[in-house]
Amino acid sequence: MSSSTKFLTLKTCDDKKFVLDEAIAVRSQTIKNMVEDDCVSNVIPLPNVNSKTMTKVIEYWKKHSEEGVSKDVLMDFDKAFVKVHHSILHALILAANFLNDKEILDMMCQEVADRIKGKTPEEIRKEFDIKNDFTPEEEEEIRKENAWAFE
Amino acid sequence: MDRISPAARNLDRISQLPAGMLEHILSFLPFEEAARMSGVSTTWKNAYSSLPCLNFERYFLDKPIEKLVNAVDPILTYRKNQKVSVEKFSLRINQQWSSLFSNWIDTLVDCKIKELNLVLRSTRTGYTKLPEAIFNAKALKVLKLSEFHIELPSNSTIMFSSSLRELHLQSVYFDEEFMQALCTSCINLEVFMVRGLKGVTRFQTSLPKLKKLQVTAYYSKLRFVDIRSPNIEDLDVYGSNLCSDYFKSESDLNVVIITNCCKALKSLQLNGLNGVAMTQKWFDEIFTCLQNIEKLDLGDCNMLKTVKISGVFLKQLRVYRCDNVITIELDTPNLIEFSYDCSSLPNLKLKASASLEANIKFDSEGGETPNSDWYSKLVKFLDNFNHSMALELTCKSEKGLVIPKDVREHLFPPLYGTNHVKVHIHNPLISYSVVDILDGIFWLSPQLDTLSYSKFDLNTLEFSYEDALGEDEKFCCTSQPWNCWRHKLKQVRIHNFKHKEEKQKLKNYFSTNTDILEIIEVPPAHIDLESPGNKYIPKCPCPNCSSD
Repeated sequence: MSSSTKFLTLKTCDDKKFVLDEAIAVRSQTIKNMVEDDCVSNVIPLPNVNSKTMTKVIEYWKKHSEEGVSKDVLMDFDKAFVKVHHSILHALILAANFLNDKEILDMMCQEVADRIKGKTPEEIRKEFDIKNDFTPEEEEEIRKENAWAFE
Repeated sequence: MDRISPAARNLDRISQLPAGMLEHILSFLPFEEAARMSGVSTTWKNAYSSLPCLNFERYFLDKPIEKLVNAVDPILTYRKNQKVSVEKFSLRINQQWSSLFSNWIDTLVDCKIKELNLVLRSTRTGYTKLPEAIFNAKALKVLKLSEFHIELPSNSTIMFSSSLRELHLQSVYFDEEFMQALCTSCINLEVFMVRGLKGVTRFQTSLPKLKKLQVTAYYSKLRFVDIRSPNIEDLDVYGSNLCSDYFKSESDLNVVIITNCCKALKSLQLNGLNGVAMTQKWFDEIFTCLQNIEKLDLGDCNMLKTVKISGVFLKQLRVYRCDNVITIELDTPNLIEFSYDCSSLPNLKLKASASLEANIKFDSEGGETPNSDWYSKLVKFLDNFNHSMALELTCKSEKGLVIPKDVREHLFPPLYGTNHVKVHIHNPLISYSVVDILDGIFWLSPQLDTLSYSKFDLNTLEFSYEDALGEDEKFCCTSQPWNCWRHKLKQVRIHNFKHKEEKQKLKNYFSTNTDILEIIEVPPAHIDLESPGNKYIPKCPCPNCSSD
């Protein structure tokens, strides 16, 4: 890296600070816009992201910024990266959405979709702790409407 | 996966995601799976009901047509009544049911459709007329049609909307009049792909914003292609399809004109133009006008004999199965990738970048034992790649690469400045062992750093040399412009050699022929497939041979 490497300090909602190479931090479109608009003072506050989630995000950014990493290695890294509990997955989706990092966001949404795939609505409710708020009549109607998808 | 802690329970996080996020998640599912999920809760039902893309391409193919109607009708009715837009609609059905979707298209136009993908599976009962409602789709950006008959709308003032950016037409019938109307009305078209056009013999376009054009002439009556779009960057013209044994298909294409309007052209692929007289004049006309080309592919062009190109922008050149090529002259100082795969070796004159990675595939003339004339032609050919960054040689058998010792005496090693060589043998002969290959390659390229060789597996040898001159210099070490590997070789790292017998031969070879100090075996996991000189041979680059 050249001598002109600039560092940014990111502050998460739980007041933890992360010092990060600007070239890596601008993987976040949100941060990139702030840098480009020159509205970066000393510290960039990230009010919607906690330190635990930010650690994961930075881990991803650093791995994907490394030089000379083969595609296979990155694929294995990504596979391991998404193997987390729903609560972390959810936090990462929110963080990626706030940071406007489409790569992480799509990867996480793909993972949730993969966890949904092949399951019945009943199984989904159980897995994601979702309350069934339909009346029996509504449920019957939906079942009829989507009968085509169950065969 | 982590265990669910009691605290993490009873929290429906998905329903609390920001607006649009659940839709985004559901859009990663096949459409029918997303439909099933509408029964989870109200939030999920709402997310499903506003999914931007409706894809009915696969799920209904093997199901009775009523099922499709039962699915699509209520969805589109709901969208229309609730004024929910549809971004993309994809449908693939058998031609006999084509009458069904005419009113669906009306609805989709009402729903401000942006991308429409309609594929009819032909039953060969003639073409289905494209519903005119499509011409009213003012928001339409991408249109892909297969097996349709397109007629000029009865009210000829209406044509495709100027919003159209991408048009893909496959096995579509229309006449010259429509073609002209298309070129005058779709003024914002940027991507245009045509394949198997029926009804026209001429394809002529000067669409002003066109960036990418692909014209495939086989399965069509196309004879004449004339391109004069000032902003075109990427142009592919396919004549006959000869590369697949199963789907060989000739074409009538015999005139290809690319005028000097196409100054923006960066990538040009000409494939299967057997009917086109690609004379030097034809070539010169194209290349004197199109100086900005960075990437050029020439494949299956049997009338091509001479390729002379000079251009500072050309970075990538591929010449494959042009079996009558005699001369290639390239004055292309920035060329970094060159692939050559034709049955014979041409007279090559090459001026390229020092970081050139070349990939050469050749046959040692009919499989017979080559004579010394052939070997001197090979050496002259390879001489062009001295000082290239990496060279990959693919040959039918070892005969084409291992130059017999008596022939070597009259020749000069062509590749003494090349450090990375990869060798690939198609039909290895039992009479040649790894040692013969190594000895042959060391003669061609006496300062080799890495040699990758595939016969049973991909094996790699890495060589390190002593750099300082020793005191007792041998004559052979000082009389040549390169280091004498027999005396300077210090260490060999052997990667992935599983074949025990070959490995032993290799060790014996080094101990008898060199002053080597060290042989290190590296287990397979350490091979870095990304390193130069270690790349696999690219597959046939034409779209007919691509992965699907």
